[in-house]
Amino acid sequence: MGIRIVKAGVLTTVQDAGRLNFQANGFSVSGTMDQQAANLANLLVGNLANQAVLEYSIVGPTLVFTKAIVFAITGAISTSYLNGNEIENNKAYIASKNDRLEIGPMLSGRYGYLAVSGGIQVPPVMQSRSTSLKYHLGGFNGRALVEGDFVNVIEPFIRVPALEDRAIPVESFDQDVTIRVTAGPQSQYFNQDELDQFTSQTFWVSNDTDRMGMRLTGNTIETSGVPEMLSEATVMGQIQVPKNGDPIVLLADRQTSGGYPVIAVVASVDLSKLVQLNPNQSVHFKMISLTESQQLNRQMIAKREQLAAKFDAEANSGVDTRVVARRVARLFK
Amino acid sequence: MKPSIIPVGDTAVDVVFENKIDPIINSQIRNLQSKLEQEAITGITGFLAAFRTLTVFYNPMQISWPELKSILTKESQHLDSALHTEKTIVHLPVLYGGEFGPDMVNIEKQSKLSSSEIINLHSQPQYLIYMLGFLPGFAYLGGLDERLATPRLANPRLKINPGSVGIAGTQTGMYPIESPGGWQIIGRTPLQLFQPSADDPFYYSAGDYIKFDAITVSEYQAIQHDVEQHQYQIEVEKEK
Repeated sequence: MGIRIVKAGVLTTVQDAGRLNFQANGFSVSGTMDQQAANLANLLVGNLANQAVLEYSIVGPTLVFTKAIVFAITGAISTSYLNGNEIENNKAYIASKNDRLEIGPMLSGRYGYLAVSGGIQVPPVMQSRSTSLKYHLGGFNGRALVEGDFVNVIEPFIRVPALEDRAIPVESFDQDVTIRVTAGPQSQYFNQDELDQFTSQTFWVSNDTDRMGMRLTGNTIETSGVPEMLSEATVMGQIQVPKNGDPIVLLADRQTSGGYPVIAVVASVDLSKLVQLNPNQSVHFKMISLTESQQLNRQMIAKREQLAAKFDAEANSGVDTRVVARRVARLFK
Repeated sequence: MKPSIIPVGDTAVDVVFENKIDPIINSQIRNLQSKLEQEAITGITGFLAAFRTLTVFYNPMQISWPELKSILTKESQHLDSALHTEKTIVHLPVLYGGEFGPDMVNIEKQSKLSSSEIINLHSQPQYLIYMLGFLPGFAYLGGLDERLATPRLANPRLKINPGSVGIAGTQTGMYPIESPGGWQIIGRTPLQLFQPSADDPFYYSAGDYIKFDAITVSEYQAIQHDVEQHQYQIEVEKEK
């Protein structure tokens, strides 16, 4: 009952919302890089938004479903085939037993997601199914998938209501993106010229970019006015400036604490756009207020909830026990 | 000095105290965290206590920023530096010197003390855990006797065994998992300081105290056996 990996692709791992409860113990949060894309993939197949999915990068995996299942791929755009027939991103499909799904190289974007109805089943470690590559824990035996692996699925269901309507338009990935940020906790220590430069200049994504962080190059930012700092908590999307002046955006596998000054923090609404950037792409930052950032985040979540409600409403034509169960589960969330 | 309240993105906020390593500041941070925990405020999703900051994580869909800010402002107004909560002292048995403490000789040279004097000085204090970070369960401890302060190794080791206890400058601490590092290794605990499959994977958290207890080779072996059989009971002392 699950998925057999024929070709692993690049950095294909099991991820969920992350190991949120142990950051204070020094254990990295991990979880999906593009949480919005992973949530969407889950909603398309009728799962709760935060169930475990497969995340892949650069080249997707080729796999065989060992049982009929509903699946969807989201995030980075690739050319993908189900038994040789081209399929689209952001759309739910039904696969039969022994069907072969081939996810090709990413054409735009960096991280793609495969959700299956029921969700990926691996034993939770420290309350999460995320893979910690650094500590070889969680996910599938603490590692990226390789050819021949067999990944279980939590009671796959082969019927979701209104399958043909479970699709949303694919947004294109722009070449030059503007990422909205709020002022960082140490932004007060940078002088106005440095702050102006930060939001007016073009940065480039360096090759030195992975699940831990994204290094940016451009005109360097002066940190001489910043006093020595004691280590404190890190957050996803914080933009810290080490002494060499090239900013680093901390991402899912970031260290739990850090001692570099944080000039800005990426707005939640734009995290998805940021993590999908590839090396050598350009990026600009735009400073917005905390109020605006939270307003945008609220709108994004409301949109997702509307989508979930729409899928659920379509399910009402016939009473599906699974949908009822999911609603009950939501009440207790 | 009153703490300031500074947003860290749209889902976290720092309560920032004076910029120094100080047990009084640390206890204020802990008192603030325990006050907020007791109130069980809807929308607060987690805490991370560090040297001079308490980071509060929240869900802005459940609690608004102005609301959270006013709660944090109010609660951080009159923070007592005294400990209202029990003091938790976690005892870690350590075999000092020999094969497990290859750098003991460097501490002897630096401090001009004998190894038994060093062991006494190192195993006497209750070390305050200011924060955890760097590695899972890695504790930044305060309270090392100044006479034991020794610079890091000039050539860091590629591999330090889990359970190793060391000194780096004025800091002391232990490695819960294998890691490269430049600490002067003076001993090892037979305990597994990180147990990912346990309900609680860590024996201690920020604000607890660590007390090292010197043990002999045969005690080390006996404890190691108990640990492997999952029969070891760690000694945790509570002080009012």
